[in-house]
Amino acid sequence: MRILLVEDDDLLGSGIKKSLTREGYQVDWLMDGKLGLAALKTESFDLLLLDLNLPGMAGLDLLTALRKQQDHTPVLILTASDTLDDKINGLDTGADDYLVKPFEMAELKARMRALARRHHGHNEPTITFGRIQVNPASMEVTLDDNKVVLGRREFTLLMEFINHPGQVLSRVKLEDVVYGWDGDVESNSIEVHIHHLRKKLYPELIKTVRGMGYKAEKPT
Amino acid sequence: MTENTVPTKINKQYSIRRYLTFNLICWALVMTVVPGVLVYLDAAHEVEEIFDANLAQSTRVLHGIINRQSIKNKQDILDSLHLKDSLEDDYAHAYEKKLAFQIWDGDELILKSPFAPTSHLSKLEPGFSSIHIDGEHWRAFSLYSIHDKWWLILAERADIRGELTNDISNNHILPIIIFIPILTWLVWLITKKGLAPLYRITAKVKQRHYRNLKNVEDQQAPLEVNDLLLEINQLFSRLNEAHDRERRFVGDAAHELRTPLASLLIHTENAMDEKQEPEQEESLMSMKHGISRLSHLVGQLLLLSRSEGAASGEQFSSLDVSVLCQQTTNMLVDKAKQKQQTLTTHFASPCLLQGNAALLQSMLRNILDNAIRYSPEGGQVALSCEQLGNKIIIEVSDSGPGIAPELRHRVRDRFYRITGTGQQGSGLGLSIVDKITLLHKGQWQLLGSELGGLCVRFEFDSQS
Repeated sequence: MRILLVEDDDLLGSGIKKSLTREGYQVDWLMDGKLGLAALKTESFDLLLLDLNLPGMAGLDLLTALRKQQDHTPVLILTASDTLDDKINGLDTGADDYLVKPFEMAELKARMRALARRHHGHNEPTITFGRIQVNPASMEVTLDDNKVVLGRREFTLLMEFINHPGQVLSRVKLEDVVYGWDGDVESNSIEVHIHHLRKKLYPELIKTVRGMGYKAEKPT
Repeated sequence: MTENTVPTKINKQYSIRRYLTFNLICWALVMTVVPGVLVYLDAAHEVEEIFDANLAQSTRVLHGIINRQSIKNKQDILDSLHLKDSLEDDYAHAYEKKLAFQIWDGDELILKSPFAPTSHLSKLEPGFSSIHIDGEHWRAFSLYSIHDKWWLILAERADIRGELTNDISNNHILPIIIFIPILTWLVWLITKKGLAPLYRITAKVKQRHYRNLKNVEDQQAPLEVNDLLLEINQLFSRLNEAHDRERRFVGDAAHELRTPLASLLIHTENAMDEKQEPEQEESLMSMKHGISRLSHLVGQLLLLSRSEGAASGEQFSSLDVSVLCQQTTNMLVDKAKQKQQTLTTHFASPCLLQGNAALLQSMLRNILDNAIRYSPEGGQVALSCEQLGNKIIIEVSDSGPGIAPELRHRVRDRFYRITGTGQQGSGLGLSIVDKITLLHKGQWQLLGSELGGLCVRFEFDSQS
């Protein structure tokens, strides 16, 4: 899952990024509101973690601009302000959730999972995709009730296919999801991960669309 | 008015009501008793005069009707006088007095009225006289009849006459005496009513909750109390502002602690979760960094609250600012060296002023630290201190990015940080500087610097 974190405090930003990365999230971190909005315009993220007091552009202004562009990326506000008015204001501007600093990472992660579930229309904590069952919280994957061990990047890739069933996902898009901006991507690494997924699960799961990318249909 | 500032009730404390009641009653008493006494004395004197005149007149009437022939049958006269005296007379006037008379021919008492004593009622001299005979006090008038060659003395009992005089005089001062209690009661009532608005407002203020600093309203407040109310209300609104400011400050301070606490919490969790040594080390370093940032913030908060709480002139002493500048430079010279910055100083000593050394040094350290922090590697920082006329001028210049003129007025606000500087501060430094400068009745402003960045210029009154 690819996350955009917009937070201007260097210590807090680095801590969140480190913690989320270890959980298999792909975190891109910006410290400026304007840069954040620009990134959201050109690339797609599964979730935006947004601080409110930002240089360049205030968090709420960024959110307003984002929703005006019909961008429905789930947004979780991280802020030091805990007044009711601020919460209401944040949620009314278009945020999906609101977390007051200081917070435990476990809570942030749980809220992020809940947001992702809601965004992709899943209600159960475990997602069933044909013969496959995925639990995003524990990162457990089963095939026909048999546990399958996936690498961090393989899991991220699988979640991307499950969250966008039937959609053709380009190699570049998948590279963004898995590596973000700061990963050193080998030219054929996505192919390698897809090869592993097909082998560990089953070959027909991910289809190659020649010249365009890959897709996974949800089995009926 | 007594200079009594003790708010609790003290018996000896000045009271308008007591003052007014006591003084008005005392003076009213003086103003009624003195004229009363005067009236009494005057009336008594006048009555005495009238009685004397009556006595003289009666003597002359008696003199006119009595002669040597008419008293030949003196027993008849005496009998009839005796009879008349003993008769009850319904038409007697309350002020009628019993008269006695004697007729002396030389030393021989020729005739006397039945109640008259046998000794002389008066010396044989014409005119008025007073005499004590057998314990009785008489007022007499003597007259010598040339025709009959005898002395005619008419007298009346002075004690009876005194009673009458007393009665008449008393009647004069009675109305005045009756008015004294009425007057007292009126004074008491009037002062009570006059001071009622004060009591009403006191009651209003008394009922208030200590957090209620709204204006005290009283439509019927009299002119004198109105001014007091106005001042009290102004004080209330100033208090209210201060109270709001404090509440905002506590809120802001708590708010400012949240972000560093959040990062500390996350790095701690990371350090606990990480299995590998270098990663764990990194998280621990971040924790240490976070803790030092928090302690800096707490230190700045304490400094700010101390400088806000201090009153001007408190713990002030005569000091040389150029020495403080030198000390501050010594403290921060290593930091500038680390960034390969040139730190130039120019101190003209002595620059004497009245101030608090610890606070002034905090002020200088904040400003110099900012200059070093915001100037780039290899940049320039300059600190100067000199006396111009009766002003002491301190200037701190740097070659940093400066502050845009439109933002310069905002930097004095608490927790205001210019975003995107890449520097993490408490946002309190310049409001601390502002408070300390204000405390020393100085001024400071932000200017462009010749070095390319910002110049902070302070102006203080010198001691001499």
